[in-house]
Amino acid sequence: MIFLKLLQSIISTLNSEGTPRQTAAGFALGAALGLTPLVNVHNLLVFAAACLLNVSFGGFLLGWTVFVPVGFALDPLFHAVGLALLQAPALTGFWTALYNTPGVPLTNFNNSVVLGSFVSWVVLWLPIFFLSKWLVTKYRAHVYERLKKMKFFQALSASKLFNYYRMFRPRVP
Amino acid sequence: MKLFRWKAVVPLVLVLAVLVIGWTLFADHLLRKGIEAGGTAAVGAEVDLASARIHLLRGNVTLRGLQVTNPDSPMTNLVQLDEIVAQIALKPLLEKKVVVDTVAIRGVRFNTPRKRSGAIPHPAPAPSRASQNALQWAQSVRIPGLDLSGLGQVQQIINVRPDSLQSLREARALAARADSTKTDFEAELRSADPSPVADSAQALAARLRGQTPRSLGVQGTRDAIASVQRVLGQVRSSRDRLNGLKSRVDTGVAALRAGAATMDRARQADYAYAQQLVRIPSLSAPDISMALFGKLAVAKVKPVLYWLNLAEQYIPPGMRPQPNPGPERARMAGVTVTFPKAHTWPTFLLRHADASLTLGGEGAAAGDYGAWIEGVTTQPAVYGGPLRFAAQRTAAAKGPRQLRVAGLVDRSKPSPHDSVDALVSGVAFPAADIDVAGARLEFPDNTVNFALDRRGDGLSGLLHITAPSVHWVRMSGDTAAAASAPLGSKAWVEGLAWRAVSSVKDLDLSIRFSGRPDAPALDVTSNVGAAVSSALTREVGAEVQRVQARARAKVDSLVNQQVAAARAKLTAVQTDIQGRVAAQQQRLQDAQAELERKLQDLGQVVPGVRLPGIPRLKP
Repeated sequence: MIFLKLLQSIISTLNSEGTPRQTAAGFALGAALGLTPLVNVHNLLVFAAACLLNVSFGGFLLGWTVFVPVGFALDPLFHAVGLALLQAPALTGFWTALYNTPGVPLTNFNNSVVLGSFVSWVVLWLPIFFLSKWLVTKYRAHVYERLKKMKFFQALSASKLFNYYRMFRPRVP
Repeated sequence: MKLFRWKAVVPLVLVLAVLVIGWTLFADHLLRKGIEAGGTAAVGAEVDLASARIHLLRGNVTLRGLQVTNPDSPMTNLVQLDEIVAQIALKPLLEKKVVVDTVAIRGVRFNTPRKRSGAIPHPAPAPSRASQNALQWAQSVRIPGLDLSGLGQVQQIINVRPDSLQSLREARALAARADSTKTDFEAELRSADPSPVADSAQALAARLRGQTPRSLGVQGTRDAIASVQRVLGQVRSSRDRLNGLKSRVDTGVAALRAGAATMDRARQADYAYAQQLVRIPSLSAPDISMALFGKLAVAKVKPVLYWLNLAEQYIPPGMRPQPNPGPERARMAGVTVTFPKAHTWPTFLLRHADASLTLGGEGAAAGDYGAWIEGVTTQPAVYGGPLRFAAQRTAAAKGPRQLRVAGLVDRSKPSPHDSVDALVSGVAFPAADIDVAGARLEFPDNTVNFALDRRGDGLSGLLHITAPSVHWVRMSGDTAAAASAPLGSKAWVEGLAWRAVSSVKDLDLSIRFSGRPDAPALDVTSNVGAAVSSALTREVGAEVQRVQARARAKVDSLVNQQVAAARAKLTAVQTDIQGRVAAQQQRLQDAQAELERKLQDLGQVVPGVRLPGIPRLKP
């Protein structure tokens, strides 16, 4: 059921829900959950942002789903980036101050994979946003027209489960 | 288009509420599982916890029914604790730091039976670095034997291979160093040659000899004083350069002398090597003690080194960032780096724990105990103080009459300081096999003093065991066979050693270890060793001395020439370079003194009266 709901929301997102800009923003936010280790405080903030900001929640879920395997695959790279940052002599004072600030250590920023993946996500946020925006626009213009004539697609869109998703549906101008 | 989706606030709050409720429901379970998993990984056998309860608002954690399996005996618990109540400071938790203010422990029992095996499927993780280091040290300790079979082969030519002699290598190295030192200093002496300055100073002094301000006139005196001051400046500068060179020469000569001392020690090692070749051990009491109790000493000191190594590993000194393996998870664990800072909380701190416990039963450990420990931390430099502990047995039902131990582990400064003092009386040790005497030593009632002091890279320790009435059991051979055995044979040595050790009733054994903490030198002395040494010396001392003298003579014949050459080169550096430097210094000093006297003379017409227009004198 969860899978079905996810699939439905992703299809709706790509096809009609929200503007490509809202979908891309949700997608780029969702990339954080996929790229960085899930159980961390910063992901709670990203999740809250995805809920509270007027971005596509379906896009958020799609971004999460797409970037989970990417995150696993790039872990060695994230580790190298994070370790280089954590062990950079110039940054030792900064990390020491952060590490001894109440609340901050709960983010696990001092773990090489968490820091490396988070920094990578921050750096990649804009490229992901623009790339996904371009892809959604192209998809809607070329692929959607063919897809909406398929019976499976029509059945999925009509499902009542779709209603649950409406709560987080972006507000379209 | 609105930026915020306010209607999502309620579902978001609900999600957060679910997370909080989930934490409340599962925190105890997660803590219990965490302690069990962490404990099992640390101990290498199952650690079970019946229940864990966190009262976060009260800062209170209660653990009940903790059982730690003995890894060497999985059906027995190493220790079982009924209840542990820890009072935890809340604020440090926001920094992911655990500061335990107090701990109260109730119902401590040791070696209790388990209902099921506590063995884990993969119980043999790679030995820790601490245990590997201790094992390496134990394997490296050389325990001499008591092989006297060489006494029957004294007519054989001692086949000493020159390339095995350390003193030859040291002599060649010393000679090469002396040559290079001499060449370097000769070059320096040439470049700092003060002769031109000394010559010019002497020439000036000669020119001014007999001259007075009256004979020179005002202008002449002024010129003469300026010349003297200029040359004096050159002399002082030359003296400074020469003093610097002298200091370097002295250091270089001291290094060469140290090399000569090493060469002398190497010669002693070569003598020992040659004696080994003819199978004649040293008959000195310490060497015999080492032969008798070496294995026992290694077995007693090895755990001490293990704990020191472990402290080194888990309680690192200093304030540098510490990398540790990250948490286990589906994603890569990575490395978690801690960033210690002075005057903050360390990642873990137990401020103070008191334990007062009674051990029941009939075992040797039965009795009442009192103990306290404070300052247990993973970051001593952040905590800024030492770990201190003390324990003592307040009443004994059986076993040791007296037991007290106190110590400190101070890693709060870059140079670590560990110190332990312990006294146990009335303790029974397992019987020890003394192979070289073919005997077993039973010592059921011992008093043990243990002292350890480690400062920086220097370690010294003493384990002193005294036992008033020991019992010797003959394990191999018999007296009649030993009497008829050939001189120096194993049976003969065992018989002699047996007669010597069996006459010793009171044991006095000292095991000293000193040096680097990872590889200390071991030194054993005992009254038993002294007794065996004197018995052997009495029986075969003259013969052994003759063989030892032959072995030494053989070594001397091979190394004397090289050693003498090295010494000659050392002497040459000392006498030639140091002598030349001293002579030059003396020459400059004389010239300076004469010029200063002349300067004084030129500065005044009559005592106390200065000529007008004469520059100020700078003596």
